[in-house]
Amino acid sequence: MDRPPNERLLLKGKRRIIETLLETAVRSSAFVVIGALVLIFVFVAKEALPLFTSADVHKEVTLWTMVRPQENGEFVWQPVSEKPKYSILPLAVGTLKVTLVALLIAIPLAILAAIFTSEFAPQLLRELIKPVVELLAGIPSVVIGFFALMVVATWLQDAFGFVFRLNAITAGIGLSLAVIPIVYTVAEDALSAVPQAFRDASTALGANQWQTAWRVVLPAAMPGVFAACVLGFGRAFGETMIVLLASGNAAMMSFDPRESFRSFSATIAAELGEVVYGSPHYHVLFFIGAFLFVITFFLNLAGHWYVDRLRARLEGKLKA
Amino acid sequence: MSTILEVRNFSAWYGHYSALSDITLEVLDHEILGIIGPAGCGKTTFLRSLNRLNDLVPDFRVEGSIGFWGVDIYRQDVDLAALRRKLGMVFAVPVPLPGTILENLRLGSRLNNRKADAGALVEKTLRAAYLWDEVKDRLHQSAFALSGGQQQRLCLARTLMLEPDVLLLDEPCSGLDPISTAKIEEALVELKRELTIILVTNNVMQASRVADRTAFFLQGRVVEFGLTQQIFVNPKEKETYEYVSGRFG
Repeated sequence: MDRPPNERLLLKGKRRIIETLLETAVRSSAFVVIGALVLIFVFVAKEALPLFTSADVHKEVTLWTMVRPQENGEFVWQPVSEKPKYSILPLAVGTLKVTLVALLIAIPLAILAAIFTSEFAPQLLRELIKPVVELLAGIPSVVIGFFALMVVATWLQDAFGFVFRLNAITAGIGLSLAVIPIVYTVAEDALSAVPQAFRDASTALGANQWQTAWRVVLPAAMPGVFAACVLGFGRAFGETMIVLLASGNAAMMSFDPRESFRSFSATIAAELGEVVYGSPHYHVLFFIGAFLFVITFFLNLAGHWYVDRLRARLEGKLKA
Repeated sequence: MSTILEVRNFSAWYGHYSALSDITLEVLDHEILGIIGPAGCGKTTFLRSLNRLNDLVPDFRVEGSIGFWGVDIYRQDVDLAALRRKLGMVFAVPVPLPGTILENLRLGSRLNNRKADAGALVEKTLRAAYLWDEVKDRLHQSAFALSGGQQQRLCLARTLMLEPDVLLLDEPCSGLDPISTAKIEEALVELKRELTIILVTNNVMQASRVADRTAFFLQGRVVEFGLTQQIFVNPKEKETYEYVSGRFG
């Protein structure tokens, strides 16, 4: 029997093979990225593990001695000394302090700037502001850190007379320069994506530009704006170089933002280069790395969960 | 009946593109004025000129005048929020805003800082929009959860909450099923007792069903304007006849 004339349409030909190959290539790229991420975590976790299992390490430090008060009731991080002290609480406080200051500055500024560009700025100005702010994201953090260390610290000390030149406010301002472009650009995209019909409808109801921006556009863009904040938090929490340069690196147990501090990430950066391989100190630093990783991971997860919830509520799939 | 809107030699441009030229017509109090015409003939531009919504469009400019109760709405010192409250608008696509059904309804009065007795007004406007029975038990649900037809009636109710003098409707039934369309048309005929309605529609039959008078727009001009009966049964112009009988458009 003769084959039907449109055989080539039905059977897999050469073209199909190329398509399959391309598909495999694209798919494997995705898995390479995920694989790299998993391997990094496995490596960090493996190096941190002896802190929990090794008796040798336990002679010097355990998870419990890292958080409980030391003999004289203090919390000291002095890993290189006659009697090494490993309290991570001052590092936690320092990290928290600088992240908080940075976000308190960056989030309102970035969101207000995003509202301005998407709702108020004339076309020409918008096309200027957005790329320029995004350019800020391209400044190497070591440059921002140096700027904070040399310029911002001097200004602040002249203006407020801080005892400690390098403190959480100085570092927080530097850090916010790194966070602002991220929050700004994601929030601006979310606001610009709100359909023009919403603005028309709101205006037709007698709203002025401010009311439209504040009561209609911002709520409609809330999931995206919140996602922007989550990203900004991740950047602030993990950023190393700015904090290393501008924090003073004194592991002080103080919630006062006017005093010097030391963050988790800066501690790893400063000490890992010179630590004895396989020593308790080495394992503690890796534990801190794993801890940063896990915290960032779960906060991101929680952030995404909340963004999804906001979106569902907005779309009416969730009872308010 | 008295004249509520008086359009005199009104022309409008988007940049260099002339959207409306030399429109002159008046709208009477408590009538339904239908505006028909093919796509791109300027119907929507005309409607959006009446509440100055086109002010949002860069490069939009106008000549001539539009009098509303005798006041030229293009004067510099016109309070745009007040103007837009008096000339409420419903769009072609339903635009529920973020929030619950109730929040949508109250948005207009909240924006204008009016603490009036909104509760009674909510029920009244929802009934007027033929939506009350469908949503009375779920006023606190998101407006996005409603069907397209319900959303459009919600938008109508939301506009009625402003207690406007004139209702500007821009193809309000374009995306709706026949039942929703019938409900909106019923609502319009009822509403005529309280306010004036300008209905832009692509559906010629809709104009013939509900409009008292009809204007036929073509390429930014009013070709013919008169009683709906006359436009549909005995048009004076050849283009009108061809359009309403379905020869083009």
